[in-house]
Amino acid sequence: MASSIENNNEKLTLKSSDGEEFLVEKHVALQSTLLQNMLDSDCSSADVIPLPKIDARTLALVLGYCKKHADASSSKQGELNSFDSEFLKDMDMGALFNLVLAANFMEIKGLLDIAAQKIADTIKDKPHQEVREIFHVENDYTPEEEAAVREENRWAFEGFP
Amino acid sequence: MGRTVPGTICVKVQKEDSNSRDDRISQLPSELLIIILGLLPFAKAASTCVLSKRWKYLWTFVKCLNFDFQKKLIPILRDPELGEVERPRYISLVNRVLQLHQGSHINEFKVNFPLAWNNSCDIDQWITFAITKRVQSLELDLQGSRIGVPPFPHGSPRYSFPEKVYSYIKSPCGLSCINCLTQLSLKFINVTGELVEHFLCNCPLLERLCVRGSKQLSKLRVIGPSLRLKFLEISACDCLESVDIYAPNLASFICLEMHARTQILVSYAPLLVDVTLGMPTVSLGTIERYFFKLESLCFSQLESLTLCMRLFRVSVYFLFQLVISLILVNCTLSHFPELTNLKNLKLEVFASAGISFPDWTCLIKKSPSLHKFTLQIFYDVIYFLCSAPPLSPPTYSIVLGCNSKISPAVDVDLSSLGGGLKNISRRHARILEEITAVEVVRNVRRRLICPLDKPKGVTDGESGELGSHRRKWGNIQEPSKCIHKSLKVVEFVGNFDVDLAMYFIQNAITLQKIIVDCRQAFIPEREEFYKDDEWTEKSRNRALELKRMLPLGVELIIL
Repeated sequence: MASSIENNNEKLTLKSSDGEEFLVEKHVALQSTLLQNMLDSDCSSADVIPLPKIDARTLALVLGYCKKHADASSSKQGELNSFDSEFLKDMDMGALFNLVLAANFMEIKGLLDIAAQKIADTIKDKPHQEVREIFHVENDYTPEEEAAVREENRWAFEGFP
Repeated sequence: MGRTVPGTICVKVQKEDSNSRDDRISQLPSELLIIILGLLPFAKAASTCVLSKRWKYLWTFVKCLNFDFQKKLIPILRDPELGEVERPRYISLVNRVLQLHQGSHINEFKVNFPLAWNNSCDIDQWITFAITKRVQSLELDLQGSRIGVPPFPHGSPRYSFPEKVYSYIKSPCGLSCINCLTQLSLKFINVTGELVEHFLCNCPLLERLCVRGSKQLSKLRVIGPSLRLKFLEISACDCLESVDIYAPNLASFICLEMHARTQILVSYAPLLVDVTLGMPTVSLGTIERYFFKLESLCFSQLESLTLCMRLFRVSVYFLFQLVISLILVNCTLSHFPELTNLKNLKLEVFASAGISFPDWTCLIKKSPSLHKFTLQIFYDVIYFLCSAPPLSPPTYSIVLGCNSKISPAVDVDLSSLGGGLKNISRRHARILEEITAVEVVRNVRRRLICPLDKPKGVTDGESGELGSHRRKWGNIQEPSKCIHKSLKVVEFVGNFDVDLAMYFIQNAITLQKIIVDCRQAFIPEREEFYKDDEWTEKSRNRALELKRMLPLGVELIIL
C-alpha cells in the first residue's frame, strides 16, 4: 500500500506517525470527516497529509475499512454489516484502542461506532475485577473508598436499591 | 494479550508495545470513554465507578439515561405489593442520578415504571430535567406493561403532564429546548390534544410520536405539510373522538385499543405502508366495523398490516354475542377492504380465557399479494385466575379454547368444567384443568359444529382428524383455485392452528415454509407462572401431525 505512484487529482497521500506513506483514492479518504474538511478547505490534494497520531499498522486497517465502505456504497448493507463484524473479530486490545483513537481523530463515525461497541461488549457481562484485569486498570481506591463508592451507587449493582 | 498477575510489579517498557501492561482504556480521552459507557446498559455504565478513581464520575456524563429495568419490572407487574415497595426506591434512584448528572445535554431519557398522580412532584422534575437538557428522545411509560396485557388494577389517578412545563415549552427558551426532539413517547400520562399539537408544530425534527393511555386527549390533528413524522401511535385513549392525519412522511401508524367512537381521518399519507390496529373484539364483524371507520385510509397501499385483538373471557352474554356475530359475519364479508398490496399480515391475539376464534380466512382472502402470514396467539391465564372477586358460577365457567372455532354448544358443558378452577391458588395455578377442558370442548365441537359449518359440495366421506379440518375449510375455496400466488411463509406463534395451516396448504401454491413456534403459549409477562411443557408438547404434536399432509416443497419448521 505504500506509495510510490505519482499523485493525481483522484488520489492523495497520507503519512503515518512512523513515516510510512499511503496513497488513497479520494472517495476512500472522504469516509473521514477530518480529511473531507481538509479537502473542502482547499488543501492541495497533491500534498502529503501527515497523521502524526496514527501508526502505519493502524492506518492500514483504517484505510481498509474506508475502502470497503466507500466501494460498497449503500446498496449492500448486509455485506457491509458482515464485513464490520469480521473486521474487529480477532483484534487484540492494543490494536483496538489504536483503532478507536484513530477513528475518533479522523472522524470516521462508522468505525468509531463499531470499535467503541466492541470495547463496550468486552466490559458488558464481566465482573469489575475481570474488567480491571483485561484492561490493566489499576484500582487506586482504598478498600474503604471502594466500599463507599459501591454503597453510593448501590442501585447500579443490584438493579436498583 | 498479557494479563497482570496480581502482586507482580508492573514495568512500563515501551509506549508502542500493544502487549504492554499500560492501562490503555483509562488513557482514552474522556469523550471516548463516555461514548463507550453510553453503549452499555445504564446500570452497568454506572457500576464502572468502582474500577478506579478515573472512572468514578465518568458515567455521570453519559447521554443516554435509560431507567427501564425489565428484569425488575416483570415481578413488579405481577405483584402489586412488591410494586408498592419498589416504587419509592425507583423514584429515589432516578432523583439521585439526575442530581449527579453532569452532561450539558442528553440524547435519551427513558422511564418505564408503574407510577401515578401521587408521584407528580418527582415526575414533573424529571420532565423538566430532560427538556432543559435538550433531550432528543423522551420516553415515559408510567404503566410499564405492554398494551393488550391487562394491567393489575391500581386505583391511583393517572399522572398529568404538568402545566408549568407546558408553559415553559411555550416560552422562547423552552421552545429552543424542544426543537431537537426526534422521538416523543408519553404512555399513560394525561396529555391534551393541544399539548401534543404544540410538540408537533415546534419540533421540526420529530420523527416518532407515541401517545398512549391519555384520558384527556379528545381531538388530535396531526397535520402539517412539512411534518417529518414517520411513526405515529395513538393508543388506548378512552376519550378520543377524532384523529386527523395529514403527514407527508408518515410510514407507520399504530392505533391499539381503539375506541368504538373514535373517528380516524387520514386525509394525506402517501408513504403510509405499515399499519397496526388493535381492538377488543370477538368477531370479524367487529374488525370489519373498524375497517369501515377507517375508510379514509388507503388500504390498497398498505404493505404490512397487524391486527391486535384482545379476546375477552367467556360469559353467557359474551357467548350470546359471539353466536350473533357469527351469524352476521357471513352476511357482511363483502365489506372488507381489498388489501391488494399487502405483503405481511399478522394477527396478534391475546386471549384472556377460553376463547374461540373467528374464521381468519375471510380476511386472508382479501390479500392476494401476501408474502407472509403470522398468527400469534398468547393466552393470559393469570389475569383470569387472579382477578378478584370470583365471578358468579355461569361467568366463571371458563375454558381455554384451543384453535377451536366457536361452537354454540360450548356453553352446554361450561358450568361443570369451570368448577375445578375455583380453588387454584394464585401462585401455583396450573393449567392441567384447562387442557382437559379443551379436550372436552373439542369433542363437543366435533359433534355439534358440523350442521352449522357444513360446507357446500363436500361429502362427509372423509375420516380422521385432518379430514374433518379439510371439510371445515372446504367451503372457503376449492383446493384447485389458488388465491395466494406469492405467499411463501406462514408462521404460528404461541399456539398452533391446524385448520388454518390446512387452509394455506390447499390455497397457496408458492408456500415454502410453515413455521410453528409453540415455545411460548402464554403471555410472556406471565411466563414464570404459566410455562407449561405439557401444553407446548401438545401443540407441537399437533404440528407434527401435519407433516404427513405436506405437499412437496413445503417445509415444516417446528421450533
